[in-house]
Amino acid sequence: MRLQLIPSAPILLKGVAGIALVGVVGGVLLPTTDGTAAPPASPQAAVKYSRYWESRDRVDVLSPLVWFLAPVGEKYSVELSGTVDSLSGATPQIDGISSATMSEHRKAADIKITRYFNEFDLAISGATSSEHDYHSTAFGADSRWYFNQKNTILGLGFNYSSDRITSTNDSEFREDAESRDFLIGITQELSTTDIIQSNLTYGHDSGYLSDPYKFALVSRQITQDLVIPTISDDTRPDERDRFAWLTRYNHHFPGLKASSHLDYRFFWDDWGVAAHTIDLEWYQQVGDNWMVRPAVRYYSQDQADFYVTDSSEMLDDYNSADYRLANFGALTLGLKIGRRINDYFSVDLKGEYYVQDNGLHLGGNGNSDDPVEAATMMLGLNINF
Amino acid sequence: MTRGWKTTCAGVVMLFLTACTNVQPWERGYLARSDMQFEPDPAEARIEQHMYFSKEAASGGYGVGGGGCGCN
Repeated sequence: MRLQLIPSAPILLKGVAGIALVGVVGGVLLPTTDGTAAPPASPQAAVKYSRYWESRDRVDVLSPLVWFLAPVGEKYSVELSGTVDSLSGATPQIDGISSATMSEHRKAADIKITRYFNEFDLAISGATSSEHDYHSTAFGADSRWYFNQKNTILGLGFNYSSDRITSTNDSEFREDAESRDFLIGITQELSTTDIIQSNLTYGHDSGYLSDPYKFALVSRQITQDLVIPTISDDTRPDERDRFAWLTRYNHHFPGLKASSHLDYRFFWDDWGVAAHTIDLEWYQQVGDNWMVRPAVRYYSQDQADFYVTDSSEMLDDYNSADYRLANFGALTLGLKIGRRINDYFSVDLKGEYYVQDNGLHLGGNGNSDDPVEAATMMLGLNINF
Repeated sequence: MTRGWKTTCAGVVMLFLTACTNVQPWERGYLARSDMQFEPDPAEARIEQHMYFSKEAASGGYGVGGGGCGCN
């Protein structure tokens, strides 16, 4: 629950002088001659300025993020990123009553150091995240093993995270949680224009996994004839096993100068949640300097077993009215435009609309009482040194 | 229906046979494009993953790493 996963860095090829502009125009890179992996040829950096608005609670989040990747000698690379979220807004909620104060800052940073060998590479990583009521520290290791002249890559990863949770409502409140995550994945080049990757991740969370600011309105049986309403703390199990299976497939259309990305992820856990995510992105190169990328994402989740749909439900060992554990579906529509300035700089602008809706739930059983509707804008500067 | 299944099975087998064709290092031009990477923009991917993590119950599959947050 607490762990947020950082995506693995892109596969980087050797001999890439004149590297394509990071994340913008898909320029053709010089092909490798020996199919081994190596650090990027030159340092890359990105600065993103992201703004997020939610309509229902007027939540407004401002997030500058800085990212940096550089080779260190012939055999190492280092990757760093840091961000500060500034969040403001109010959260009045009806069923899952929240008393969270809403003006906070989150600072997060991560680092990864990769060592490149001939047939594999090995990375260690660390991350930290802190808010006034939440502190998290994580470290991990991952590696990629190359076969068939790098046509096939086996990926393995592990991450451990330790969290400390406090509450602005109660100065004595102090709880801990930890997470252990494992990944195994295969990447396979299918042809000169097709590549597919499939990853299975397993995570185990333990400790305090509930939300100290949330409550649920439930009912309690007092006598055979008397049922009274009662307020329960948000109480979730203190263990969680979760799985995610992601398969993603990229195809390049040389005649169109475009590439498609199609991802499907199935998620399930032992809290009863099951979710499907389908993501489609189209990277369209326009001329030599522009990239236009429309994107659509569909998501549907089934509720946790202990999700409280309404106050007539009986008090149980575990109760949560947090909408994030309900049945609902969601749709994202996005458009990103990138512009190459020169060999060193490119800029991009992205707009996205995200809406959760009970009507989008795959089984037709949507029951979220607080669906999110949000918009995001992201402005980015990408630098290739 | 049977004919449809036969065609589908043949198609899947062909796909796997195609998968056994090795892409030579000098043929990697298209695959090396930034728009053919699984994460062409790692900074954007971080922002996106955090947003979805704080609004939805599902997470993971993309990689391992990173700490938690109080957002979920």
